[in-house]
Amino acid sequence: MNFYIDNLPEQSTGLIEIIALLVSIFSILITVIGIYISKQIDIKYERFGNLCLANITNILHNVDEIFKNQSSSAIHSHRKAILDSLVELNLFLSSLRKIYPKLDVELITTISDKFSDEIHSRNDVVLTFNSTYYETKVSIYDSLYKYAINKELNLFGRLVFRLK
Amino acid sequence: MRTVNINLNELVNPPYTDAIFGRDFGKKHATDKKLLSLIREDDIEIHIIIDDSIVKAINDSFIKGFFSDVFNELKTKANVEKRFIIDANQNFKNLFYKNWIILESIFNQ
Repeated sequence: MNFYIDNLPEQSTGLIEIIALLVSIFSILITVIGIYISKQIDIKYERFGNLCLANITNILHNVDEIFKNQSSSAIHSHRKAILDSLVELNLFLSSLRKIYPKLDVELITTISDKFSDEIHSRNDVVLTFNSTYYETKVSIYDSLYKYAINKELNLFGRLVFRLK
Repeated sequence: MRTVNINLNELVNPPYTDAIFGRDFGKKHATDKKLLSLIREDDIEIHIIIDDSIVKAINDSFIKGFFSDVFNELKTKANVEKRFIIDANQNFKNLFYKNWIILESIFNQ
């Protein structure tokens, strides 16, 4: 029995193989660049976490303890300890600008000053300052994370999304 | 050298108030004392006087407000130290020096 195939595809030229090869090389290149960038981001973020966030958590540890364990005592008996920690926090952030020059220290000091002013202006129990303290803490971490994402981890410049 | 005294004791009213705080208040006090024109004069030494039996606490916010224009002009802690003498106990002195470091960092961004 004989079979005839009428519509055989035309024999491919070398051009298709060349295009396929270029596409493969390009995708390998993109993959390598992607891995490199994500590794860079990991390292930068770990560095920022260890240098900045971990130390800030340590500095605010005493204040956290006061708000956790001394909530019914008068604020004036803890005022000095809290304010000392806030001064240390601002000093630490100032020194951090040697490594992270674009860090907006003024913004963070304004946030912490607002809280310390409130502590000075009222003589209530610690509990009444709870929400203000947590708001302050959240705002400080929020500005640090925004800085990290927008300035430190933004390897693509303006192409990467920016947090507002 | 001319000496000018700025007495911060007058900002409290014991037993009703014994703490000084507020960035705006600090800025206003600097304006009232014409601090900027004082530091523009040559050969002047400004003494900040604080009696710890009268003033119990000063918040960073006041110091930042009080010295913000000074740092905008003089830029560094070393330059400010040449013009200002803190006449107070060591705790208050440390508080001013620490805030000067912070201000130096802010005004040299």
